[in-house]
Amino acid sequence: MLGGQIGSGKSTMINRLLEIGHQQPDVVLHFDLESLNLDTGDFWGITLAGLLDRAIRCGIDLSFCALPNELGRREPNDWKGLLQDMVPTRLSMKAFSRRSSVFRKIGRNASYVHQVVNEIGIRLEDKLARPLFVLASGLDKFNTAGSAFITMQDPIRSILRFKTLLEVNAVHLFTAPGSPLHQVDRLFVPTASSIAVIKILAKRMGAYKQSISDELYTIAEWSGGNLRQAVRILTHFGAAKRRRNCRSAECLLQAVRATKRDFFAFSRSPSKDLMAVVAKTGVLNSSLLGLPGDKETARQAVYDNWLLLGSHKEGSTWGAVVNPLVSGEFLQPSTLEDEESRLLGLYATTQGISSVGLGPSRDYEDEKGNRSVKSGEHIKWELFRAGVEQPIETSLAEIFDVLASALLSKDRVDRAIIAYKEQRVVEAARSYLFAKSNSYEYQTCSHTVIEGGKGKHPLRDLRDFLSTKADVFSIAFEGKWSVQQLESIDRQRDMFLEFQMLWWVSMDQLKQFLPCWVNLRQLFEVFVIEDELLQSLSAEEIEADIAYFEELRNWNPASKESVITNLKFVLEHLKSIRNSNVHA
Amino acid sequence: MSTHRDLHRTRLWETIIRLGFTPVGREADWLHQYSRSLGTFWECDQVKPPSKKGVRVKGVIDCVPLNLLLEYEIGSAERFSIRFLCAPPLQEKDRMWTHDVDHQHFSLRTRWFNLAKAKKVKKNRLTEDDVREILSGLLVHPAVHQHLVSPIDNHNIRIGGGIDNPFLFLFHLRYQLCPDIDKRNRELTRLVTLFYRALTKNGIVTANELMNGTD
Repeated sequence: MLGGQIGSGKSTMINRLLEIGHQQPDVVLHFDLESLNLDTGDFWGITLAGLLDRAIRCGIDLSFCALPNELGRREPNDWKGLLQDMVPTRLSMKAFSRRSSVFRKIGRNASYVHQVVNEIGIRLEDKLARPLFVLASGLDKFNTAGSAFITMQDPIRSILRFKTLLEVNAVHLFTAPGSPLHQVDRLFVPTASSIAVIKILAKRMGAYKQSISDELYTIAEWSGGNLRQAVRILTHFGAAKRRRNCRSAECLLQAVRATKRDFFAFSRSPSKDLMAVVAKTGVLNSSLLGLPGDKETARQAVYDNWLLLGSHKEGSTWGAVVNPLVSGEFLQPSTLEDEESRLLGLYATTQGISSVGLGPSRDYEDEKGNRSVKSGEHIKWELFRAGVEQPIETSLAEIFDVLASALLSKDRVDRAIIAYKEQRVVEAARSYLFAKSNSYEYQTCSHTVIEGGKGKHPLRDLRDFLSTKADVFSIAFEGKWSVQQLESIDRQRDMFLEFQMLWWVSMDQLKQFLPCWVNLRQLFEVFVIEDELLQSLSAEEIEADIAYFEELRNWNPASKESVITNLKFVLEHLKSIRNSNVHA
Repeated sequence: MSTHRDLHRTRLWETIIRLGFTPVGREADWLHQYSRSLGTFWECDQVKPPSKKGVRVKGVIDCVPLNLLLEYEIGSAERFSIRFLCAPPLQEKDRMWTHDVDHQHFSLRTRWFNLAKAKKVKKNRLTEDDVREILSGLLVHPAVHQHLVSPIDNHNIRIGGGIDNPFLFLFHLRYQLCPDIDKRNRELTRLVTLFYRALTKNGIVTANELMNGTD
């Protein structure tokens, strides 16, 4: 698995290495060529087409199944025709609808196609008499919070049995133990040094590098070591110079502004606390990338290049800088003294005492024992440390607190689908989360079950529920939904824009739902609750929690359905998943 | 011996100019393709195609890294000018120099070409090395040339001082102002193959082949 942030040069590096090594992959799967709104059928279709293409060129005997007939209504041995259906060489309306129909069928029969993909791969290896080299490119375009990241996992798992190179984003390197990516060997492409960036820009400028040698240094500094960003600034600089209405410094400024607009205009800003801590320490703790619901927005900050990751330091810390293009927004002069005073004043008022004369303690003793007065910057730094840098207490209950904060607090994501593999895990999580909701720090939350299937009217039920009064609407999807019912929900996309919602869907159902939710899957972020928990809890912490609950139960026996029993079940379940991963 | 060899190469020199850089009746088309090819070859923004007024064709090429504007005006194959304008930001454009060709005045070089034209190139004596040497003299390293000193001091850029064919002059600028040495070398190899094939087989080099051959 080769991972790096957007624009770090992963694809270029792979192409160059393959060229130098005179070794081309047997199968190349481009997952990002058409659209980023892919469903199960698309992912399996791209995988099958890639292997099939190679198998046909190698003259592999494919008579072990009749896929051409089953998917494309062709002669059972017309594999070339099936490939043509999946990857039409000539675009037309007819070819497009035929391709969509084949991919839909593939999506509905994913586990069967899985077996076919396996068999073709094995036959290819027999023919080549060496491991099959598969390059899966473009996976880096799929954010871990998107639905596509869930649907791509099965096809990825199927090709991992071959000699596979996966091109992924940096955030994919920090996936949970439950993810298929977790067990794969990984290489990270960090940001480049200023000297390396200057060399690359100079090579691009060729003989003309001398004419902008001073500017190259500045551009390299503004790039933060991200190569695509450096090239984009250089391009905008050239365009600004072409207009010939300003001097070099102004052209540079225009180039930086234009690049910032290109890369960050539609990107959601991460938390200021996180950015300030990284700016101050120059490191990022990778445990922040695994926080449930991306509580500290670290995953988002790395995925969208607000933070640029450098090399691995020690333990779980990585060198990191705030992207120079956006650093100005986060490094404003400290207003903390005012904020501290305001909070103290608020506290005093609620306690019925006068806020006059209250202020933060500024006495300070340094390492040598000298007493002095804390500066505003110092106090701000302490606050950030308290909020962000201190390790989270890793008991299950506290992880649930973090999850509740990510899903229910006022700065939560607007719409999330929470997928689960085990019903009792989600029940435990839900009862814990809802016990937390409606408290002073969270918004009011209302929950219902919407059932689909014959004789049911889920859309009407959903509309009725949304007309009630609540801040956050929590909806569990149950029953045997028909395609028409799912598609009718999908068509209501615009209606959902104004609501904050949590949808609870089992993983098995989600695989069936997502192909029908073409619009909705772009609107929702997707969490897999077991993965979120596994990412945050180590094996030792799970053991310690179980021991704690055992002790508690012996002391105060609880009924089978109690919260403790539920939490204990969750821990046992997580333990079994983690153990099975270790054995694998 | 050396006289025969020189005469052979003089004929070749003239023939290559005639094949690639004398688009009689197709001047506008040649220049249009030329403008389009600059964007691709230099990997920069597209260059605007020239405008035609009567028999005169006028065009502008913007070489941003050098703060240089090239304005060319072609009246006929024997009369043209290319102005090299220095265009620093926020200032009036300062004219640097003009490359002017006026055939009303005697030029030994041109007359000599016309003598050599009388006989064709002998195909059986032709080698790729001959073609490479001629193209080198025409495009890569003109014997009489000027170097830039500012804003870059690069000895690889040679502006040929003695070129009297407007199309050849423009084409040699396309080569000389390309900043990537590797790309230049690949381009020369491509042109050698193209002209050698034309000289030994079909005798035609179209503007499209000249400008847009695979790189």
